[in-house]
Amino acid sequence: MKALRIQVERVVRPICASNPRKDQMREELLAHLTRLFEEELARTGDIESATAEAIRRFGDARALSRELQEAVPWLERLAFFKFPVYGPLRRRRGESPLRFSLRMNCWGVAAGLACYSLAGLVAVTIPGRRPHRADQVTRGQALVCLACVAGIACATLFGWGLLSEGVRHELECRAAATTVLDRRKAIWRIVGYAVAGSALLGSAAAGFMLMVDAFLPVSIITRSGFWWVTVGAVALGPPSVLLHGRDQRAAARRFENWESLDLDEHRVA
Amino acid sequence: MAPISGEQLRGHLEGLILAALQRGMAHGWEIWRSLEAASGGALAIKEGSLYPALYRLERQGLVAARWETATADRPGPRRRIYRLTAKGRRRLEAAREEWRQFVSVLGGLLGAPA
Repeated sequence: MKALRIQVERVVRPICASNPRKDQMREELLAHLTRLFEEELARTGDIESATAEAIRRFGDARALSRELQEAVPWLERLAFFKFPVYGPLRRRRGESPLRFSLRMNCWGVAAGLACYSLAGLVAVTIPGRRPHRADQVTRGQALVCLACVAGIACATLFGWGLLSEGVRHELECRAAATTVLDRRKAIWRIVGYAVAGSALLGSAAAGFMLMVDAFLPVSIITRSGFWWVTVGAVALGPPSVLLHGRDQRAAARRFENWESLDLDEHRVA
Repeated sequence: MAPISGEQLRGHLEGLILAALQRGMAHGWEIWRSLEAASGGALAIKEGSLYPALYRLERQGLVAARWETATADRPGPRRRIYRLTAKGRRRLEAAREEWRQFVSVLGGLLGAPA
């Protein structure tokens, strides 16, 4: 019953919680609502009135959302808090993974530039002092450090976009492929996305370590270590992504099935 | 008898669920039916409210849950089966004792001893 699923989604969608927890809520609430509907249908014999009565007995969706939200651990609530910018940072329907990754990267560049300009402005307008200790950084070094942070953030966003969305999308394509050739192409694209994403994430992590190494009086990584971390990420990233690919694909399909429901449909007064 | 609303039940729903689960493992629907039957239809709260309370109890370790394994005999979504834990049993005993004290004190004050 689509109307029942929509009612469940009205309750669960606004909740800030992990997808597995939300899936669990969806399934459990739907099981209860279905039983309510069956009971009402046996009593009235009319689908429309049975649906309306089951929804009424189940309770107000907004109040139930609030109560369910309070039952989610605070750390999870915080981690999955829906920021106002969350929408643009999500992959749009029909958007290719590469485009999504580039868009994510643009967000990163924009945020990095904004921070960098602000820091530059502060550095220019406020009269600075020369560092009085050998381990203190100069304004110029601080700006270089900030540029590194922005670059690392961009690489992370881009890499994550390729790895998560790219691989997930291609796994879907592989499942939907009708010919052996299409399936093989999808596999090659999965490998490509996984390698590129892992390399970017690995080099971002290693770059972060190099930056810490350059600006702080502690040594974490050498230049050769940078390449080892990157190569290690490339070697370990794709197999781990592919190992979890099936679960990820199933979870994504379940999640998208629910997320695609139009909540304004079947609205009961 | 006037129905007991959600506001009046606030804080007591968890205890009622624990008491229902003391009779044995049950899923949400069965817990609700058992509460309804025991109250003689006097509970006037929305059925969806049961689940936030169940999740809170699960988080506190007072109940444990698992998904039902066989659904071949019944079409539709899976259900979660809840059972009382040892900690839940202890909490239920404590809740009963608190309730007895509450009723005895307030009953005396109102001139209507239990």
